[in-house]
Amino acid sequence: MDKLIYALLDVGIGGAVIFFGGIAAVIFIILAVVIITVSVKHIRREIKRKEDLEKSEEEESLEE
Amino acid sequence: MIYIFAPILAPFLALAGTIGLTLAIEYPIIYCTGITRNGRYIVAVNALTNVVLNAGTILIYAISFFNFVRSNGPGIFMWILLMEFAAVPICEALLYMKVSEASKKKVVLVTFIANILSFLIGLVIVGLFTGKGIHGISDFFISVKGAMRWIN
Repeated sequence: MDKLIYALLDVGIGGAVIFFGGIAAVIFIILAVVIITVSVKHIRREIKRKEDLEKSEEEESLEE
Repeated sequence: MIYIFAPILAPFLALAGTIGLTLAIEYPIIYCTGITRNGRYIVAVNALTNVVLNAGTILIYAISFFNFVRSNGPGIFMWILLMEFAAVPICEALLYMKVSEASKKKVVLVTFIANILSFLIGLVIVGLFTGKGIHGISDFFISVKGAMRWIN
């Protein structure tokens, strides 16, 4: 009976570790995806803004 | 209660810590050298490269945990070396070049210096957490030497 209790405790603790470790992994993946998506979006927007600025400066200098 | 909140908070703290440290060192260098004065751009670039680096490191740890490879020690060191001394500085330099008025040489040089500095300071801080202090740097490179022998 004691062995059974210890075995169940081991499974329970192991299960808890995997469960909580799993939660941490899932949260990390979600956070990573969000950060990567937002960063890439912002980087693209800034590069486009810079290119548009350069184009408009070129057009202005051509007009002059 | 801590066993419930710790796994939920751990990813937030880990990412905030690593990205925060990187920005604390690289942001002033990139901004003050005039590579770009666009603060948000600097944050976005560093957040992107940092998350990719961390995700890869955790993946290698996970592979080791499930014993898919015989030993992951050399794998992690090689990954960190490759990322910190090559991939990350090169990617960041290319991204900064897109928005910078500075010369390409300057962008590459400053980016590499900033990344190497943040890597070394990161090692020292990890060394503090593991109780090895400044020896964290020499320990890392000794392990790299060991990893090189494994590859040979």
